[in-house]
Amino acid sequence: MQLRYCKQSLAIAWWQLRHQKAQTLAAIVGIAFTTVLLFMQIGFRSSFIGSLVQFPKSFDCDIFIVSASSVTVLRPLPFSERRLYQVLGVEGVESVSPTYINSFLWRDPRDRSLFLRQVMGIGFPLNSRFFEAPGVADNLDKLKLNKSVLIDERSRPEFAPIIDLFRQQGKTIEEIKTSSQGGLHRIKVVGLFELGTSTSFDASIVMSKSTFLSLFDRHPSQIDWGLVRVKPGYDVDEVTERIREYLPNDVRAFSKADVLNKERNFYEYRTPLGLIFRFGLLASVVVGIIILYQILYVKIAQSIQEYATLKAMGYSQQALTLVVIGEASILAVSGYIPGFLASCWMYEFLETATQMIFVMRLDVAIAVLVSISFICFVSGGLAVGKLKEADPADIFG
Amino acid sequence: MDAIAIVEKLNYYYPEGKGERQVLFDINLSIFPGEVIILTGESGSGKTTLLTLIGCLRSMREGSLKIFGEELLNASEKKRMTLRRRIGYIFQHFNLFEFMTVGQNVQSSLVHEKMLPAQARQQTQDLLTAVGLGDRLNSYPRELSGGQKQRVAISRALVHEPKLILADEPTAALDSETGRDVVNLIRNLAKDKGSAVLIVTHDRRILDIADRIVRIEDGKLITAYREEMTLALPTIEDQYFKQLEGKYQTKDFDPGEIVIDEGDDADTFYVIVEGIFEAVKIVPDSPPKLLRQMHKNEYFGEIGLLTPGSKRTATVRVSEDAPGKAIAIDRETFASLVKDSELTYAAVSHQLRKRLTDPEMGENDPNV
Repeated sequence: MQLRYCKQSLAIAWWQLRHQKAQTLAAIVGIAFTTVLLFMQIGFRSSFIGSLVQFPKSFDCDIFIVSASSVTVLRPLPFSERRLYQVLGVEGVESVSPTYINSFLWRDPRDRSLFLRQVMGIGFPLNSRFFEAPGVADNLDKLKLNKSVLIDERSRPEFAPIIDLFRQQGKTIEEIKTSSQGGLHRIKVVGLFELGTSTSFDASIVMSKSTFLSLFDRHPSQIDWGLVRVKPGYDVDEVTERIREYLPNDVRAFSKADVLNKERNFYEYRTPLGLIFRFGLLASVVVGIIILYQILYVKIAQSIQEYATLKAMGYSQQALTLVVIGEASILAVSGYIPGFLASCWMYEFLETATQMIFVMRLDVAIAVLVSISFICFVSGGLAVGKLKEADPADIFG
Repeated sequence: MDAIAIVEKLNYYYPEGKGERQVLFDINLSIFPGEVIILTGESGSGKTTLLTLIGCLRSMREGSLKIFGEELLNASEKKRMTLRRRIGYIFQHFNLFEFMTVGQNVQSSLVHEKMLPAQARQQTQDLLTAVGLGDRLNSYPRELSGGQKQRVAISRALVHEPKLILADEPTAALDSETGRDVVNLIRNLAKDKGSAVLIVTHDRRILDIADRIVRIEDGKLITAYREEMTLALPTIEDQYFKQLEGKYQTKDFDPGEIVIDEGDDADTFYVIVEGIFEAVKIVPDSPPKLLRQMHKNEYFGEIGLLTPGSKRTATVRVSEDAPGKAIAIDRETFASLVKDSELTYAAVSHQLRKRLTDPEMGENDPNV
């Protein structure tokens, strides 16, 4: 199609949209809404998975060793420390370190009869330098005192009073409960670090190995994770394979990349959450297509006489199709922009409210724009069928 | 001159139930450059169908239809679309694009022309100025009156200078004065550019702008005698024509054929439909002397009829160049027509007086 026809078609698209302002505005709101829905679905999904893998990602290691009974690396069961030190004999292994993980309850400072749930305690030998979350390295000295802990400053808002109290006083004594029978302990918060929460924990603290063992009444030889660093120049997958062959099958070894992928895949495909996200995504796209198709269909139906007149004047079917596609595209872009801005605001709000990670990433922004364009093309393509009813033979009489 | 449109032996059918119904029968019509043709007929007679066929808006079934020399029988949709770009369309309800300004409406016809946008704007501006809407370029159709809208629609139909303009009831949505202005505008603009115009109308008040009137009855094209007579006798009213129905006949004459001889009993009144007729004085031993040439929509023979028992005062024959056709009305019918209608009487008397006072006629026609 020649350029002047394209220009005229797009001009007609623009004029038509400008002519029926209320209808156009409704369409833009509809698309903006769809955009927000998409960002919400994708945002929740990537924030959920991102938050889940944030924790293993914070460890500066190449290989994780977990008990073979663990369902996922993030929900480990203890295994013997001996297995970890055996690994030192494998070619390519540079260093190893144990990590201890356990969840516990925290007495609510605002209502002392309640306990806050889902707090994760992380313990490690202070000289191991494997846990790299911001703030940990600076405060290692303070953890040498017994029952001293660092608290995650990006914990859920219900932990804010504790963090505030620490900031005011430089330290705060808190009470926690580490087992169902008794298990009450006093701990001293001596510093802050940054990790962020996930759906499995609302707050976390780090402490020395000895503090951990005394708080959780754990036998020192029972560890949750074995962390392995590989010597420079060695392939991580090959070393992982060697470790697997070397160790008995009561433990399993995974490369860090493998762990992150497994975690993502586990939640994506093995839990209902992944399915719900995908379903939500599909539903948003379908709703978007229906909204826009409806609007375009009504627009064409209203202007059927005008389209017939254009056909009589020698405008081709392609030129008229381009008018409809042009309208869809203009609506897509002008609906996407406010939808994007609203979503940025929504992410910020959700991040503050949940302390999970909500980042407006460029690739997600482009993916949503592509989805919105897809919605517009599909609905435009469906609505174009209505154009066939514009018969120039009907315009006389 | 080559015809712009030639319709030959055209039949057309509409589907009806399981079968089909024929709506146009053996239509033959040629449209020549610069000609204004009015097509009339009752609702449902098939005139709009014929208009849409000539307008390349429908695919043909049978016969031949050539527009700008291109045969439309079995023509592709694309070919019809391309031909439509060279035709101007004017509609009863204007069919302006409500979402475009007046200027954009008119310019929308120029998209098919290879011209610079500035040139297209200038051409639009010039034409709108010519139709008296030069200052409404940026108005929207909803801000205009009916007459103004139709002027915009006419500008849109004519701005790309099509050689064929099709108008469907262009005055139906307008009051009579505005309607009159609008058809005059169509006629004048078309004549300027040598474009042919085909107007479908019921509106008797605008018949006089036509060079030719054709009528469709039950799907058959006929010469519109009644309408032709209206042109010749503009003051006559419709009801008198109804009385005339069946009391006149059309006569075809060969080139040079004598219609009435001087000195015959005057018994018939003629209205010319086609060809050129000449009133001559036969002078013995010398060539006949031409008194006057008469064209379409003029009439003759009335002088003898106004005075009972009188003879023909001159000889009338068809010109040597082409055959002629005339409507013949007998003395009795003519008398009743004139008696019943003061206006007609006045018109005929006026014409009569004009001929008598014509110096040449007076000199050459002492007997009258």
